[in-house]
Amino acid sequence: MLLVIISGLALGGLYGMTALVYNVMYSTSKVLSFGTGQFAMVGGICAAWVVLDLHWPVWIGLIACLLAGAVFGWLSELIAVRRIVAASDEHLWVLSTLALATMVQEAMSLVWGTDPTPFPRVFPQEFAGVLDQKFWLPLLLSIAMAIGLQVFYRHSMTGKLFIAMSEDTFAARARGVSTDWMRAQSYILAGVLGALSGFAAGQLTFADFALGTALGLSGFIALAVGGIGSSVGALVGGAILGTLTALTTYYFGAQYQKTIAIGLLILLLVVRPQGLFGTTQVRQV
Amino acid sequence: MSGTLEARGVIKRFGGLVAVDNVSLELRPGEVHGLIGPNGSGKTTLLNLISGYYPIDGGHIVLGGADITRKPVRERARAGVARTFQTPKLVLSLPVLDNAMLGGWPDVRSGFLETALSAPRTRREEAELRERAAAMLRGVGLGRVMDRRADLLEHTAQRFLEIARALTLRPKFVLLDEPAGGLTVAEIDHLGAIIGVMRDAGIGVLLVEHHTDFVFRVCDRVTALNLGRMIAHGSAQHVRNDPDVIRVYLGA
Amino acid sequence: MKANYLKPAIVAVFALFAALLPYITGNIYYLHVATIIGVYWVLIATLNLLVGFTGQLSVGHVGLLAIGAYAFCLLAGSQGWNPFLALLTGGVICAVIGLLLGLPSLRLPGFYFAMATLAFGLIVAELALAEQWLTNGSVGMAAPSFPAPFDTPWGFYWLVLGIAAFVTWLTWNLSRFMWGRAMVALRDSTVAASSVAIPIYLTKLVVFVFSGFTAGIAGGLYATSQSYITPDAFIVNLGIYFFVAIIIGGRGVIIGPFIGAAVLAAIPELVGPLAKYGTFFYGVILLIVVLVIPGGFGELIDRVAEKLHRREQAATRIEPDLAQLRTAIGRRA
Repeated sequence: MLLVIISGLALGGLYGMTALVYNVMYSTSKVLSFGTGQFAMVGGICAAWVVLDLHWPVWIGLIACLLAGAVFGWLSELIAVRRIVAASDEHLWVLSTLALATMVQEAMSLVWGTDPTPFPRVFPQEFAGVLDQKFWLPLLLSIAMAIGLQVFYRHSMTGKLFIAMSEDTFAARARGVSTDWMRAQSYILAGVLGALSGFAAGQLTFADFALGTALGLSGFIALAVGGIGSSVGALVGGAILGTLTALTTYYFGAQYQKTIAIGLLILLLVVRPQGLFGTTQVRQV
Repeated sequence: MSGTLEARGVIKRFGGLVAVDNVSLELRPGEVHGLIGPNGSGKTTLLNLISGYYPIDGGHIVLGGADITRKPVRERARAGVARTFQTPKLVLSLPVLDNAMLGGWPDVRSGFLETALSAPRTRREEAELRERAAAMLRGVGLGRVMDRRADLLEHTAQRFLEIARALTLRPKFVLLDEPAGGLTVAEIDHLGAIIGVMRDAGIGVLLVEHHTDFVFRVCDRVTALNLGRMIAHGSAQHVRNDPDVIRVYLGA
Repeated sequence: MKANYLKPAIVAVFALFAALLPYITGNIYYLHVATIIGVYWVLIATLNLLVGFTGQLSVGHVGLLAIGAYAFCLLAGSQGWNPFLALLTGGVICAVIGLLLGLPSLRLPGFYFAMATLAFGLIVAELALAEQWLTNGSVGMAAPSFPAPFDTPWGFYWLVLGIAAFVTWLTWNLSRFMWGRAMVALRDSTVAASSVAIPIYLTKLVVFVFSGFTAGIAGGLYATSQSYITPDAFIVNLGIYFFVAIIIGGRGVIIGPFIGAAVLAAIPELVGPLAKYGTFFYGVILLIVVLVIPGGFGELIDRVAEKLHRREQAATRIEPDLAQLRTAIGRRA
């Protein structure tokens, strides 16, 4: 039972990190990217390829994974977001990010194949059980990421500018902030964090091309449950969803995972559209 | 009094700011009522409260004796409260005529399936509505551009299209939000004439406008706001000479 | 005025061509591809009302297609119902499920709705695999065929063609009357829509339920056209295909998505090696269209036609006709 809860929390850590990645991109662009889950997928596969196929050390795998995430994040902003944000049409950014996500996923399935592949151990480990690193890595990292992001937003110039942009893009631009470059930076950061989450959770999820879509959905549920813009909410939302997923899998079998998850999402959004920790009202008109 | 559109002691706050503070206003059928005041005095906010776009924080909106304070926008529109917007809100991808026809939505009785099957009633309603909207467009002066896409219309023409759409709704009351903005002198005269026709037809018109000469020319009564409060109301003549209004708004 | 005759003429020629296709090509495989396009079109035509006209991005219609297909196989197969009755029942089931899915999710902003439908698509795929007592799991189910004269490839083609033509007619009617204007209005400006009393949520819901119904019908036809269905057939990628067909065709027009659907379905079928890269290219095409011509090819053609037709355009002179206005308004109060 303890194992079930721990694995649920670990999964929740991954979902929470994905929700954080949504938030990072949302802050500067007001875009919820369909490709958010793909960062973790790309990062995970990249690391697995470097370590397992090229037989290089794990730390090189990590660097490669982060680099891939950074490049992918930057490209997403450049290709799918920059021109769309100017048009400020929700219809369009949903489509452009969906298109990019589809392309990346299909490209990965063609290059990497469609079978999930085991992920290398990050630290040497001889035992299995509750203390397994595959649980603790994503869990601890998610907490570290949330704290790190808070520090970043509060104390670094770039972070403060992200916040300024999220509050008023026009005002930020009027004060001479290069909003395009800021947005690009936030997407690069998002790519790096997303890839990192994929690396940390790799032993849990395996290197799987189909991870991105499912993770994009789960991360979004965590985000919606916690409330857009809230780091604490992202973690709590992720933890709730992860634990619930693990418990339903334990009691009813894996086939009802998504059914439960989406049920949770819809239920909560009907009752409380802004999420548990969200302050901004969901725009209705 | 029955048959009027009233705001009674209306209050609206945005955060700590009181945008509309205990304002009352009565719009009668067949009168043109001006709403003036400096920028930020709460004119458009009051309009949005009357037409239902903002939830209200206090007071009541009453239409013909019935309290409609909690009714959504579309029910107020259905009950005969039409409006235009400061920045015209049109369906830009549709032709001008279709935009005006949208005003006839409350009269459409054909259901979804009936429409899908192109039932006789659907076609009859379509023809009637097309004729009504076309007449309204010719009436406001857009007869020649009915087939043009709305986004190809100049800004000023879009204002007149909004009026045509509002009139196609067959409203009891029309709220106009700065309809004279950006119009030429000749166009403002046309607007004045159109408002005159609306009044003669028994429609109550609420006119939010910065163009004070125009307001005092066409309005029967005027309400002046400042910082969300009502500072004067009464006949156009009376408000024009009110010392407070002159001080905060008209200038010496 | 020429354009008034041009459109019906094109439609007539195309209808004739479609009806006579079995005689034009003796190739059974081409006929099969044409049948598939027709089946997809039954779904896409009304999904276009939802996505193109109403602006609600449903990624999960493939889930409804799957439910329609399984319902048809179960009812007409093991339950032994009349296939036509089973087909209709499948449609009704999907309409009800559409209602249940739409009730909570259509209240939410666009991305939430898209995610909810995506989740729905994934759930259906998950359950189709898991609920073996109902669906046979990954083994799949045989699909019954329709009674004579629809039991041959030709006969089935004509059946699909007839249904597709009927659905197209329904869709066209919905788009050209007030309901169509209401859909476009709430897509372009919810403020404008509510100012003329259009019930936004209800309209979205009705359109969604209707598109659910025809998705269910399409599912039954799809099952028969494939003669055997497994959960693999209903992957989310198929949903992306529906979507791309509509977007490249152009939102707010009917013919555009049809061409999109036909071209996208035909290319991987007829050019074998492309099939593997199909979804990747759908993504590329979608991205390019969104970035370069957000209105799709349909709107592009419209714009070009407009440019060619347009006479010298003088600034609009506002010339009110007060007498006419007086009559038009009538006497109120």
